[in-house]
Amino acid sequence: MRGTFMLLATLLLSLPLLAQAEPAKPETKPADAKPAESKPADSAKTAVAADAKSTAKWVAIKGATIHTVSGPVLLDATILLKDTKIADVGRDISIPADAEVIDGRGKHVCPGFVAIAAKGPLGLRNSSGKEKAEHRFDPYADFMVLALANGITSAHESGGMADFGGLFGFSGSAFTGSHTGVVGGTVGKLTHGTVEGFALREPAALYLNSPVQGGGGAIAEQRDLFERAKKHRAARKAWLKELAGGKKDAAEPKTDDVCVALADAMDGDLPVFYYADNRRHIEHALGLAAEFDVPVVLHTAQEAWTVAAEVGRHARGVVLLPRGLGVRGTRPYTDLNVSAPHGWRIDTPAIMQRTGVPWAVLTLNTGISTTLLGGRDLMGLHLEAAFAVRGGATDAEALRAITLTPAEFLQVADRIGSLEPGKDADLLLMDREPLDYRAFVEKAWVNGRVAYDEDVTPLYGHIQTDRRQAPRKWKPWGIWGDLPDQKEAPPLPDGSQPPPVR
Amino acid sequence: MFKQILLLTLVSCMPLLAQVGPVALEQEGCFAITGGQVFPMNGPAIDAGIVLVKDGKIEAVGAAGVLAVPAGYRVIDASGHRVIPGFIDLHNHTGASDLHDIVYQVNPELRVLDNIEMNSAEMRIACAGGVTTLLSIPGSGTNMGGFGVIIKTFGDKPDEVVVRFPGALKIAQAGNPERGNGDLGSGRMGMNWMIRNVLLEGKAYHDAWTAFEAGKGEAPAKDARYEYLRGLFRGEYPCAVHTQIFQVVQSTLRMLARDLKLKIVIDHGEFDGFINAPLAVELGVPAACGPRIFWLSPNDGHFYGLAASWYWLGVSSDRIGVNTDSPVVPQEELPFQAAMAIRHGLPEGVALKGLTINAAKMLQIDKRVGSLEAGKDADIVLWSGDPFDPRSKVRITMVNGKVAYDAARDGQRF
Repeated sequence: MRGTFMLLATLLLSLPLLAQAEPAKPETKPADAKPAESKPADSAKTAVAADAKSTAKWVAIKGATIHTVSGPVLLDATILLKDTKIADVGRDISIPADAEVIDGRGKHVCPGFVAIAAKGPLGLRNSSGKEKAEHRFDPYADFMVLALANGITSAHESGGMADFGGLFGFSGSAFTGSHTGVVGGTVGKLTHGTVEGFALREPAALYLNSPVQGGGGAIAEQRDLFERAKKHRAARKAWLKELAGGKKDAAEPKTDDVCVALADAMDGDLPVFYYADNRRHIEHALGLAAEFDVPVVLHTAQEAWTVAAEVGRHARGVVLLPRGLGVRGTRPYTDLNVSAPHGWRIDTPAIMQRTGVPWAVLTLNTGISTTLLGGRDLMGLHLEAAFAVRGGATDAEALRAITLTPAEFLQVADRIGSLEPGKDADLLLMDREPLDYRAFVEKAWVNGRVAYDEDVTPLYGHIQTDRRQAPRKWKPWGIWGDLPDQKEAPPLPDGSQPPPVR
Repeated sequence: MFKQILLLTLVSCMPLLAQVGPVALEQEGCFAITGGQVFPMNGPAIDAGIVLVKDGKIEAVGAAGVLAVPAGYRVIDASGHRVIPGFIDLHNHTGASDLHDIVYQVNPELRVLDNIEMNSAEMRIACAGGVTTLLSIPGSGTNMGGFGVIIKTFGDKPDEVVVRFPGALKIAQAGNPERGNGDLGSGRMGMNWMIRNVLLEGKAYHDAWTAFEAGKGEAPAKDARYEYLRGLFRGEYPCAVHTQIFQVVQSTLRMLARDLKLKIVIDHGEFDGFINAPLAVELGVPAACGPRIFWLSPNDGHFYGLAASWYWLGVSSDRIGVNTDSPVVPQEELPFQAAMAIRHGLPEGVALKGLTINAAKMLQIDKRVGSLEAGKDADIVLWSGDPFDPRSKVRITMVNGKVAYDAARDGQRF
């Protein structure tokens, strides 16, 4: 009796849920949003199906300026998230009744930033190097929180590349890849608080250093690697053909990991980052890329502007530091013994943009620093991109350079980098446009889950600007006790009144 | 044939005549910057304002309807631009500075005056970044590095670029000047004794000479070691004190500002130094923050903007500045330093004044620079937009009425 009553109650309870869920379908149906088939006779199944439907989590950010990156900037638009994915983006979207609706008016939504060649945000712990990254990352790492607070939702950490951060956060030699290649690294998500949905790609890429500085021996060694990879690729192709032809005992061609990786890269299955900052190195890399048909990404390609057209023809793209690689105080460096065009230029990203070369942005310090200088490390990725705009790139391309372009370079653009239906729900709600130096991330979603909320994490929420209010009492240092109240906002020098203090 | 030649000559001369006319009338050193949004810093911004420059000085500033452009002035069209006084860096080591000469642990006899390098790469970088005045001071390798100089970033001769010498006395407390192995200066006690001792000696020397000059007593022996300290005690120039961390800044304020009654500027003021803001307010001491921009509090986990914290804890808005410590932060990034200060909570208006008129006041050179007022040096920068936005760029930098940088002429550098 009691059991029957429970069943009835469950059915009755699930009815209104069904009624609600039905009109909740967005107009453009995501593939997995089809109404579950239900047979009235099988009441238990219906209840389960209804239950499953009702657990789908919908989040809608309404009325925001949405920077889709892959498409136009949409004003007064809505983005709809379903569980871990983006269900829809647009100006005229029906929002399911049970969706959590966030008022985005006056705010900006953009894809989470993608940090290329980063050090720290994934919270990876050292290990023997054998374990997969998803088994050795710390989902509560401070660095991950700091990166999220500054908009990074995915990062590429490399085995082959070192962080650039010296004492002052300026890039120095960088890139500890080898001219004979290193395979490794991880592309992962900053899934703060959970290990679910972390991995995007591992190993992340093949890293090559320019052999030019090393001289003839090194050049020959690298060339040999390319030749071997080409041979291996051909042998592998033949072997696969034999297998397909029914010759099951055909011997698989064997070679070393780097060679396999380069063959994979030739097939377009693995990204290749080739460190080449000056023109000689770039030209050498382009020569190999053209001859062996390898889609290389030129890393820290400072002088790419000197051979922009060739870069456009033979490279997949470039990774740039808009503020230049030069040692502090000396940039733009000029070598008086060199008369050919050389050195750093502020308009390199703009030249790349005009030439049609995809470019991604790297910070001067690719780590995270809480004690050194501000605005030079990964906590300022969007600020670094803004410097590209100073050189003539457009805002849209600069935003792309920290979202979709690095995702494309890392070959994970099917998942992340832009706001499109079907892509992962990795996005930011910001209080200003993403490249504004005063912009803060209010919320960051990773896989549809709020991974950072400035009201919860006490990093920036107290900072008072004309758009934000701050608490009056600060307690920066426990032993000092209470500081005097933050003063009543004095008039600003220009006579205007500052924002009210909460 | 002759007629044809005459005609040809006439025809070919006509455009020349047309061009030569007004050019011949243009007066050397006279500029009119028109059409831009002018930020004079002594009053509200003027939309479509006019700034007249003559012989290196600002002649007049006003709105388009009020002020006319005199004949013969070279017009610089600043439409769509912001016209802002050149920025002043309160803490620089590239203009005239060898960082250290460690004669003693305290070196009031040293000066950077003789190291000025005009138009060096560093100075050209400064101009391209919109920075026109620097306080270039010795490093912090000793507790007293010597006397710095205030210079312009453009000019051909040392006399032309020097705004004032001595610019400021460089004092460094704790951290960098620390010695090891139990030597004098291994701890704050010894370092502060050395600073205090030499200043007290200098004070005695100054008092003896002041008495003599007032007609009392014998002439004391001249001592070059203390000579520049006299101006310090007369209040003619400040001490730029490398000081940071709560207790070090506290000793700076108590020892130098309160007890020795020196004019000081807290340079750096980093980490939790801002907790001393109430004492700084009491003593009227300004803070020039940087190159670090924020401090992550271990207590409450907030990022505290340093300039913002000094400001919000009560230091008057005209006593807040930002510096680069160039080359620690590249010189052209002085406005970016301010941008980061704004990002962490400093009001934009305070930041803009902190790089111009208030910086000039801290260095006591506000009679010459820091605002766009008639009679002041024509140090003017045309910005494409908000100078703190990394996306904005400098179009023209004028120093002492000369075009030091012109993106169209020199190519855009930053």
